[in-house]
Amino acid sequence: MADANEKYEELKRYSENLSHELLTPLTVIRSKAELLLQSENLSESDLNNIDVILKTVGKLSRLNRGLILLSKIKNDQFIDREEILLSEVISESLELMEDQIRHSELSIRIDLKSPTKIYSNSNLVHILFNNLIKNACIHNVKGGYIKVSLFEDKVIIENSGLRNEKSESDLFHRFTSGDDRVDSLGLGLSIVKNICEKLQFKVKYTTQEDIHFFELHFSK
Amino acid sequence: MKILFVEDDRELLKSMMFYFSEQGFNCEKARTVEEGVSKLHSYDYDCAVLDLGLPDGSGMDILKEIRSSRIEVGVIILSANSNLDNKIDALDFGADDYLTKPFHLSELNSRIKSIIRRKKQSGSSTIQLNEMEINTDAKEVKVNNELLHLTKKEYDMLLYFYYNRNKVVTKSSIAEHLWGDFMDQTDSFDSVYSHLKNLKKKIKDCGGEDYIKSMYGVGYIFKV
Repeated sequence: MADANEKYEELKRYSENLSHELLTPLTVIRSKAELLLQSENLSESDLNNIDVILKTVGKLSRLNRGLILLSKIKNDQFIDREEILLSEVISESLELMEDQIRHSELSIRIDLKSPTKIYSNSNLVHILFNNLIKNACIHNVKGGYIKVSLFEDKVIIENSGLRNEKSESDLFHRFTSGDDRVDSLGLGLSIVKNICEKLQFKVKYTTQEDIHFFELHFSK
Repeated sequence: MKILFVEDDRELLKSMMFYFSEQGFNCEKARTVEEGVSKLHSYDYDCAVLDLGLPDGSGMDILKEIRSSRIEVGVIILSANSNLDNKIDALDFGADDYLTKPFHLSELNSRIKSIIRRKKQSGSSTIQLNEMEINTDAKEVKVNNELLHLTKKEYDMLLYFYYNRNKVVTKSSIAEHLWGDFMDQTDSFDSVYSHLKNLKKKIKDCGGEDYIKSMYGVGYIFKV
């Protein structure tokens, strides 16, 4: 048993190191593509190829960063605790998505009157809400809505969208996206799940027709 | 203008040297802490770009040496670690800026130029560009002496274009400059486009030249 634990720890360290080792090579590829882009007389198809390289590097980078974050969460690298006013966190997350909200003409209905405070890790709580709100924005429909209701012991985030065929457990699994329309990595909800486990929050997903609900219960 | 790049990856070093030499910077390189420190003691630089992971130590060691020997130089730390603590450490020890790998050359370019501007500027905070005047203190832009009412994102975008003028700037680097790496590319490209459209319109309404040209789908170039 001790041996298995040791192997698991080794594997965890290995995957975190691997992610870090990828950062410089990714920078090399990106910089060479940027240099190529500056050449004179590139044809439209050259430019398109460079564009694909750059977009793919961008995707790999975000994927890699997500994996680094996941291993940091698993390796307990977010240990500080402080008092956090949730209405503030949620407002900040919505502000971050301001452009996306305007672009998709989403209406925002919020009820953040509850002065709910939790004692938790501020970084993780911010990442958690950023991911949930972003999720509600990008898997939405043009002219749709997002409703966020804060209570003393829970938050409910409700959004319009498309009908979802994926099950709850699938959705929280890494690399599963319930929506083919967006170029999503499928890491966001896996990060949500891991943060909730770490902070001992309960997260539940339900859907009715084309409406989606994420319910987050926190321990006080 | 003289820049020292301290980075142990040869290809990344080459990319940076090429990109910045082409813009008229006098570039030098070092691949270790020892070499970097020795160059900083022997020559004057306007800016030093320091990688954290070097074969014989960390870029932080060089930063500490710069501060304890009171060497006058702007410092940008390059890190393979997005850890917030590292960033706070670096800034506490007197780095002027901090950039996480994998960064865009155009982002590094805008950071270097903004540091050099801050260090060199004696009184004047205005950039004059034909009919356009950018005041970096007040964050105001005038075209033909008329004040443009720009949003923060439009202003940031214009300054980014200005620092990267005559270079192709990709949509993803603009998106990352405005929103960080949190946004997914395809979601933010539409927003880049709509901010740019508004910016161009405001410049045009004051009789300004249309300097920003689209490069097919890849990005834009600010040609002056």
